[in-house]
Amino acid sequence: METKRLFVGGLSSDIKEEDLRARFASFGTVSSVEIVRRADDEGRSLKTFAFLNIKQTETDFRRCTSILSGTRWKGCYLKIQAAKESFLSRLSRERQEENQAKLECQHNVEDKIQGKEEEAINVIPETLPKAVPGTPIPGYKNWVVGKFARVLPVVYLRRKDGKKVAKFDPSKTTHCLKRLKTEEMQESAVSELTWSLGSAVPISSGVASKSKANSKREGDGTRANGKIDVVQDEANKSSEGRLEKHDNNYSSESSGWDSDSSSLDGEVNGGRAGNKNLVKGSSCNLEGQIPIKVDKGNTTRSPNLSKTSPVPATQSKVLQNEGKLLSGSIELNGSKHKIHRNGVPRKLPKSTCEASNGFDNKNVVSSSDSSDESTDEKAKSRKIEGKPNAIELKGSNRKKQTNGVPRKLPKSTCEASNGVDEKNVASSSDSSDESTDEKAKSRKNIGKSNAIELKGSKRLEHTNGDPRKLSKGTGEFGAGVDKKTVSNSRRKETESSESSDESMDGNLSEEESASSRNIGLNNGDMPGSESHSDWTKAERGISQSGDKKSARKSFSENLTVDSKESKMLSQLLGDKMKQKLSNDKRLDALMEKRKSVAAHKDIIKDALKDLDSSKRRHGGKKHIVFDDDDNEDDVEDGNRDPVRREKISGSQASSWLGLDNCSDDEDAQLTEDFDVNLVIEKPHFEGKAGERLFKLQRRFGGDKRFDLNERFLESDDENEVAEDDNHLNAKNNLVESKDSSGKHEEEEEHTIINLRQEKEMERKVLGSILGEDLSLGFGEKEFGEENSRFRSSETVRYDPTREDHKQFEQEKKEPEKKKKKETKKEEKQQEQEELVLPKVSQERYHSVESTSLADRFGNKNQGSSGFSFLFEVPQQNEDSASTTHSDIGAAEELIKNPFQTALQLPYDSSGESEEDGEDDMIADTAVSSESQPFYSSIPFDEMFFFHPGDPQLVNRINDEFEPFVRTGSIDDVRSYWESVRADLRKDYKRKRRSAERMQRKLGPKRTRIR
Amino acid sequence: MRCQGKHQGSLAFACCRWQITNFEPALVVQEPRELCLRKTRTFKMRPLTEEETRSVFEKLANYIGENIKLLIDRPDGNFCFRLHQERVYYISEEIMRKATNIGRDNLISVGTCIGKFTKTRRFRLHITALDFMAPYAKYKLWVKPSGEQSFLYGNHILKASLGRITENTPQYQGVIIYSMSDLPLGFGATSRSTQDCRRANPTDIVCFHQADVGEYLRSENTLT
Repeated sequence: METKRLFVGGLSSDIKEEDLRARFASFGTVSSVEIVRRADDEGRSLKTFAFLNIKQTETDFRRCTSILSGTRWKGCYLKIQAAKESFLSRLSRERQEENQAKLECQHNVEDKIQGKEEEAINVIPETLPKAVPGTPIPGYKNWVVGKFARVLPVVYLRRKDGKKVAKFDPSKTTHCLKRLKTEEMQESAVSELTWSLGSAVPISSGVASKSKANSKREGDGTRANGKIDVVQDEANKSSEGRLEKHDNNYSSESSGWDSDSSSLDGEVNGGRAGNKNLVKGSSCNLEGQIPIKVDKGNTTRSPNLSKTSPVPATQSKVLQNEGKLLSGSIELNGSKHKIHRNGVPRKLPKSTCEASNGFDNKNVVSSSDSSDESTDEKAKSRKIEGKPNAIELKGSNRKKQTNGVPRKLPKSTCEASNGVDEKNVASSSDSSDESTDEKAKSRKNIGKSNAIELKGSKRLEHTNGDPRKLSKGTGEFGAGVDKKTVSNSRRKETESSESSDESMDGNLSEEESASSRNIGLNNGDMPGSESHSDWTKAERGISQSGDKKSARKSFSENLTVDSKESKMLSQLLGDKMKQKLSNDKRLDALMEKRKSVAAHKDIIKDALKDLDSSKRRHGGKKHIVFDDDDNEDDVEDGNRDPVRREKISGSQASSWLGLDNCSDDEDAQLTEDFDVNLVIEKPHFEGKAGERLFKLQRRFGGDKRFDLNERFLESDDENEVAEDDNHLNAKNNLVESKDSSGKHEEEEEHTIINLRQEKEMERKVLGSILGEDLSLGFGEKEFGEENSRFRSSETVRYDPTREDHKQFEQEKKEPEKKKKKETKKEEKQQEQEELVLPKVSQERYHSVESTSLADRFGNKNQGSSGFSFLFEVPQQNEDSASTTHSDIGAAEELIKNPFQTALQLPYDSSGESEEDGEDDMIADTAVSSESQPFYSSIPFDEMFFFHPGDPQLVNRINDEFEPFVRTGSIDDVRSYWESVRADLRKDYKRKRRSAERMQRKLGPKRTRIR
Repeated sequence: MRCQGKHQGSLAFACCRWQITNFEPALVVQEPRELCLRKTRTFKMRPLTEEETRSVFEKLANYIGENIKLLIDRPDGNFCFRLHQERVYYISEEIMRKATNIGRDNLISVGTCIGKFTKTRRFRLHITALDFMAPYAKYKLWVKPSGEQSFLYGNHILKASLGRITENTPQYQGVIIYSMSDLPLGFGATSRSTQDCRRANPTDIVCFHQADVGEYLRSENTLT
């Protein structure tokens, strides 16, 4: 007994629960009844059914079903089925199940997750450590474990048009993930991120640094020069320290400095610890504070580091200060300095900072200078620092620092501010790639526009990455020191002058002389620098107050201007130096090239030498050498052929091939010999054939491998074919091919012989075909002769005026001869004539000498001499008749009897045809019998027509055929003919009709066929 | 040998363009083909026997008479006849020598094919021999432009399309057929002598067609 759920359908609409209970009570215990009524819109009930929960046994159920289903109750037929679980109960059940499952899962998860207690059961864990990617999360659908034990959802993405849904399983794409280590995530300084090409001056950093310079020295130190930091902690430290010091000391300065300048200044200053306060700021502040700072030459630049000073001002100041150094540059720098400085300040801040820190920083700065753009900054810084310091430093430290100067100009700039040290640093930095620029910058830092100018000029050079130029510039700088001084005077930017000086100094770092000059100059400038420094101080203040923006602007301007300035500078100041330098460079390069080429040659030579197999054949190397058998012969006959036939390899090969241009003695000798031999000792080049051979050899361009010797000479026969070029080549090829295949010569000869025999045979056959008479001149003729003899009738036109055309003319022969020829051998005569001049076709009407015939036939008066068998019978032998006969005969001679066998040829003993023709005609004319009596009077062998007594008949008659002479009488013949005629006619008609029919049938087809 | 001339509506466009500068087309070689079932065919290239030479010359003599000797002994080189797979080729000796290096199965054609031997060993001239016959023709026949087309399609020549004919052309004589512009179109055999031609009706056949240059297109496959 169990509670069953029954479905009762087909109930009437007015059924009630009690009714159902009552009805089903007999089948079990009804626990619950649910009636469902479905009605349509208008209220009419569509269907009514009920669910019953009955506690009954199986049998009861069956009974119930069988009894009640289909029965009619209250007007409706019942339908009873076992019902599915009620919806609600099912829901609840499912929920319960789910909950259970979740609980389990949760428990599992919680077990896995260490120490995590979660109330929420439905929380999906974030990670499943120790789970293989791809494992599904238990309890959750569409969640898998991805890489790194992460629990990730499986996403179903719907396409844009909404038609397809794609499944994305993150566990399948684990290969795309990569975990970043925390170490790698360390941030590197921004400055590190920027790349510099030696002279490139990171502007941004500079600008930034500049801006910060005022406020934060540290910023300078750290910023933009992150690289520097990284590269040289020391520098960093020092720079920083310097910077800080700077801050302290030259807060204004450093701050005022742009990054570059400030750095430089700092460095400079640092470098010149002992120096006066370098106007680091000025140098740092390429934007214009430099001049201010520069002024501070000896003294550390006053905090002209404040880069805020208007760049132009600074520049001008610098220029002024360093006018001595770079007169032109100064001027240039005036405006350009800004640019320059702008470029510099970037790096300067640090350097300046460093510079301010003193000499210690110098080194650092220098190191920093040597680091990329540091030079600029250094220069700047140097400038800032003030020339004197820089100068001094340069002088001493230059050397040191040239080598070991880090690139970190910013520091250098700071150092520059330190003064001489920084200068040196700057110089050293200059020596390093962009260091020069930085040096210039550092100079600027010192507040020397001059330096800047130098830098500018040098910067240009720097951009080329040539520190020398910078040095040059420095040299120029030095040269221009005077100018600078002048300019300095012009400009009140002492800094600039100083910086310029310093920069120049820095630039000159590479050229000691120049640097020395600079130093001197710088020294000379010291006072100036001092003034500069004063100025720089002022600038510093200004710079400090200056805007960052202005600094930046000025910086940028400086940069642009500086380039121009630098150009001008270089032009003005450095021409000579440049020339010298460049010349030196060129010479050096040349030398190097030569050396390299020579080395290369040597290498090749040596290599080739080693290749000489003859020496090393049995040596250490294992060469498989396939030698000719001729080697031995060559040794003996070495002199026979000037061209050696033995293998030539190695060094000799190169000379042989003409590839090697070196003129060793032996090589030269070889070539010489060869040439000589080529000219003199080659008899096989003589003569026509030889000429051709020579030409052929020429085609190979004098390659010794393709020398043609006697063996290649053509045979004489073939030489005569010179007329036909194609032929010539063909022959040559043939000859050469023959020669080349020396082994096959015999065979070829054999074949040639065969060919000759073949030809003979052909001729024979031809002769037999055409008649023995025709075998004329079939012998081996000279080709030239043949050529000349061959004429086609089409091409030859008879010209009576020409001598050699006389052969075309027919001679007037005597009648007797003609008679004979005509009568008996007309044909042959024709053919002979044709043979004489091989006429192709016989277009002209062969004229049977009508005159003679006329004479004969027409001349009845002639007696025995004439041939007049027919004409003596006037009745029948009419001229016309005879002529026609003769004509016909002549024409018909060549008719081939179609009934002859295939073997019969037209030219073959045409007596039959002739005979037949004659026969017909004679039959037609019925002359024979009557003419017979005449025959006797005429000499038989002279008669034109056949006659029974003709001796020639024997030759001409084929016994197989009927004699042409009528055997019987006319009457007999006639009667016979008449008898046969009818049959023949019938036959003929029949045949004719059939043939017509066939033709009609095949007519249309024939056009298509073939 | 050059064949020039206007077409004048002739379908044999090919023939007008041909320019036979030498008699030696290149060797034609092919991949080995399946063995021929007929074993009577001669695979190897060999010179003609006397019998064969005779038949060939006789046929040729129909058209060019004794000028055959000019084919045998040419001023510009040695030429020979060779038989290869029942076809007779006329080739220069150089080519012939080179052809001997090619396997018989692979060699399709050498030089110029002038004809072939039928199964009953009769020799049949091909149109490809026209080049050698045309300049040496003994009897010529000129076809009017209106009749060219018909002849090139393989029809016999009617009196209506007869332009010119060599005098004294006997009946059943081998003739070379030219167009009015002296372009060789083919060859054939006269069905009437010159005299008879004069008396013939316009629709009478004057010359039997044996080969024409249109065959180069029609029987392209079978020509070698």
